[in-house]
Amino acid sequence: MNWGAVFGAAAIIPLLNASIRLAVPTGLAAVGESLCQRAGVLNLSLEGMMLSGAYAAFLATHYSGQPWLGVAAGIGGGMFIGVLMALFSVALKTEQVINGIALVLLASGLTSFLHVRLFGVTAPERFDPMAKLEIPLLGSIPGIGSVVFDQSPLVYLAVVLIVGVWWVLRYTRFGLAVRAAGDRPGAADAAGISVDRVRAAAILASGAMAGLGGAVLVVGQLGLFAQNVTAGRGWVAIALVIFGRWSPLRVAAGAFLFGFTDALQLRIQSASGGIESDIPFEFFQALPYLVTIMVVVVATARARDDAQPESLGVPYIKGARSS
Amino acid sequence: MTKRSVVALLAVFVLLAAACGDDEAAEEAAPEPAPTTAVPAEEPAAEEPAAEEPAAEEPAAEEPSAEEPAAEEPAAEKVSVAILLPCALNDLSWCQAAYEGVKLLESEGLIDLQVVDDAPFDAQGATRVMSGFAEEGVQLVIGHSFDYGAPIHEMAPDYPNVKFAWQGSCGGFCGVEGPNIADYFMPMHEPAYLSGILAGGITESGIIGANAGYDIPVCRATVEAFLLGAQEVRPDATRLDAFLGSWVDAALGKEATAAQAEQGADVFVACGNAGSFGMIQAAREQGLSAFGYVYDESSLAPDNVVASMAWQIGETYRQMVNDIAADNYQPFYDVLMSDGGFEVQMNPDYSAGTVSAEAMDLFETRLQEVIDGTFEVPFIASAEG
Amino acid sequence: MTATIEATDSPGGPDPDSAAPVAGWSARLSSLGLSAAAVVAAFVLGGVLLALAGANPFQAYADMLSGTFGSRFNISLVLVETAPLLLIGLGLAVAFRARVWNIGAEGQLLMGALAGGAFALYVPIGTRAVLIPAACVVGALAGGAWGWVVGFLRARWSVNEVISSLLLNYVALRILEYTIRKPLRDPVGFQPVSETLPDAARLPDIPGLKTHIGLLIGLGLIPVVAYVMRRTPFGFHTRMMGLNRDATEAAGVRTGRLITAVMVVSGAFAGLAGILQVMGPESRLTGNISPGFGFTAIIVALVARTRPIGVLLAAVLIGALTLGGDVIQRTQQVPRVLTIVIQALFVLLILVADKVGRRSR
Repeated sequence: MNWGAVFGAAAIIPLLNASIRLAVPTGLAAVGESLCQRAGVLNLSLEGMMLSGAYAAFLATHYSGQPWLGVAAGIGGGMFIGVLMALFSVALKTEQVINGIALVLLASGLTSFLHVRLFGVTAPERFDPMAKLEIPLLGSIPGIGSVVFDQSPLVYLAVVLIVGVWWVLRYTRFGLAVRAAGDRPGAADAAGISVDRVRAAAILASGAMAGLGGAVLVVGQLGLFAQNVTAGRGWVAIALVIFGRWSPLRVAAGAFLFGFTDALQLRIQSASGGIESDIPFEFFQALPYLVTIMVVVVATARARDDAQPESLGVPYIKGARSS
Repeated sequence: MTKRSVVALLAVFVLLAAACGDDEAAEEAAPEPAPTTAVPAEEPAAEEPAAEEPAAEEPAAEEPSAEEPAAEEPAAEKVSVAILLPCALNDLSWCQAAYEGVKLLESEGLIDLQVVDDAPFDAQGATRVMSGFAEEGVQLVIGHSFDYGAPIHEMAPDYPNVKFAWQGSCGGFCGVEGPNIADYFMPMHEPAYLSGILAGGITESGIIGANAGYDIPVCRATVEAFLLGAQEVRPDATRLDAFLGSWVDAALGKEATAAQAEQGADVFVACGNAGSFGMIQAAREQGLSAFGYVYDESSLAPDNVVASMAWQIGETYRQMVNDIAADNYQPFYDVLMSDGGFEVQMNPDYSAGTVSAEAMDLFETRLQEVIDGTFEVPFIASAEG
Repeated sequence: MTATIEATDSPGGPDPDSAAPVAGWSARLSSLGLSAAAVVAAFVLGGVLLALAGANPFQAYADMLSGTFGSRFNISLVLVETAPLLLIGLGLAVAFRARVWNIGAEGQLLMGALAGGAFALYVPIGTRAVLIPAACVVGALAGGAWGWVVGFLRARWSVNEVISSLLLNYVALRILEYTIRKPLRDPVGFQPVSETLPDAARLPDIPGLKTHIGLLIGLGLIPVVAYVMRRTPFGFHTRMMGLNRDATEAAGVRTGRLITAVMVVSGAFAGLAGILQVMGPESRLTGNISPGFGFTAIIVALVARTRPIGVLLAAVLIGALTLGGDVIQRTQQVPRVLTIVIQALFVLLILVADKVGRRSR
């Protein structure tokens, strides 16, 4: 096969661009999830949040013709599932794993149902995805300029949000409260932090980011909605959180690496004869997961790394014994 | 504590059972006519297979005589049809093409129609849904995916008076057979070949990009025929392939096309709904050319869709329904372009490239030959041919 | 200590048997009332959706009931749906009692199906009474091995089991897809599926029903699981670990080894379910062996509060709702996906009722 077509000088920039495009929807959801898990909530409804966001974004853009309204609606759509998740996980303190999975079912059923209900047999017209926004001067830097400064505005928004989550988590009182709620909710409570409120806020933030991730797919990339358009990205995002050891920036880097693997495998397939290629394409499709498992093993084995929030997945009940 | 959950579930069952009891009473009154009509229909039918086979083997000469009674008595009698679609019926692709096909027959008054969209495609789920229709006495149950072959093969013997059809495209090679089973063919290699001729007249680089959901024979035959068509115009044409491992991941399909565009491809073909959406979007953004999959997809990118390979499945279903009315159900239906089974629907607004005059002429010629049946497009379904 | 999830009295986890004061009849009755209220509420909400979808909700529910429990044939179909959920749910119930969050039953099922299926296809055993049990063992071993990977990673390097089991689902699916596309592909066939299994590997039906005998295996395992969990050291340690991992460790139990064992057990149940699907309804290896049984079974196990008999009831319930969805699509032209929504509402409202019940004490 022609490796030059994949790694040649001319191929590298587009490869990096594609990696970013593939990374952003999943990365947004993953970074939001990392915040949520740092607060102690194992939010498995992520795929539902993304799907709900994708559909809300589609509906809003379809009816208003305003892509930015679609983006806002996408955030709202993700938060809608977030509200339910918070209601169950925080207010009612039910088992997070179970209501998370139930909410994925809910979102997948509702979006499919609504799509056929609202549009019947005529597929709704597509719209134009948001145009790229080249940042003046910087965007014309040869090579790297187009990767970093000539992307969809949603990519910049994603970067801002990802860095924002990192900053909030690290440098703000709220971030401290989040970490306390996830590690030692009892102590946090004693220190006057409302664990419930912090966790609910983290879930909503996660819903907003996952919804935005869904909106990026629909408004930023495709211009249409198709059933289960998120295609499992929410589950991958959960993997990414662990891959990134609960650190937003590392999670984002992991998202880029996953995106890169996907972009790479499509190029290798194309350059090596698809069906007849010596390496089965299924190998590349499984590769990101295998790599994640290995990274997790290495990270934990080397550092005895205990990045995982200590009370992850444990509903906090005031007054109940907690470690 | 945990007893409580058990108790809760018991409560559910009590409720269900109570309601069920009521319902059973209600049901006993209601569907009684149904069984009585179903049973006599079933009994002769149960013996029929034996009688049917000789009848089928016996000559076509008998057909007219069989048709006559069929023509006078069920003149108004519609064939009852149920179809399983493995996706949304407004998907602008695989399922919508089939949906409109059966709807056409319904609007012509030929059939009574029931549709299940988003149908399960595991064998257990498919059996569950199909056996519901079969028990109801529907005359023709259609499973619009190759996934439905195995469950149909397993269940068809239990319902000898129900006809089953599945989209296997294998003409009897798949081990799915029985007197009441038909496989119907997706002859996409024909429009793909013709589209390939157009592509050969469009491409500047001579490189074609193809994506497919999975490595299945119809997809292989499609992309192989597409390349052969292109090579009639551009003997040096080559093809890049990518498999997505998904029928639903449109964004990945878009990236596959983008990757192939980077490697020089400028005309694209897809096999799979989501893959084709993504492909067309990528072509739209980069000003390249693409072909629609199974259904008229030109609305997705009016400038960039050269033509759509539009499956007129209604014609396939029409033959089945007619044959059922005439009691002459066939094991294999291959309704080719010559019978109106597929069309290459040109998109008048296409402007992203120009089809060379030479290619256009060749396209017209081959189109006519394919329709006349004088040109046979090779069906290359595996690496071995 | 990297115990992910510590003991609390959260639902879904094991409640200490002694923690609940002997519930009086009044408490039980009120809980029954609450659960009934949850069920009613789910049906009312579902009814609203049905009405929005243009159906008559009362008729739809009536159809659903007669279509699921109204005839022996329909009951057979419900039980076919029940079988895999029951088996996987039993295995997950064991894992969840230990507070080991196995999200990877889907992948364990696929590996069981693949290994057991390949065995049944290519090992020339002509006797049904030998081949079926042998294939079951192979399937269970393969599922157990896939689960072992998770347990090993957890025990050896503290790799969170939610994540590794989730990731291995995707790996298993791709392995299966590759195997049926290349090495196991039916040589004379056409599609990326294996040959049909030989007759000796096809599960017979339970006499009088159109349900394969895989269900009986599941039913037979209910008392076994109940006994093991209640009466054996393994069960005792598992429950204890679910309550408090540190204390269990302190009591001299090697929790790492126990976690691995628990993962192997729950993987084996999923693998067994997988091979039974292949020898039963599927009849060959395809890429669509499971419509998500591994995930649905998580709900089954948790709704059942990890109690074996509860798993059976929950599996029947979910099976009936699944079939009910098909029925109302047929009779009321309601999109099937709506029942997915109703299933989700069902689960959520049972959680709510449970919580309300807990608080009212």
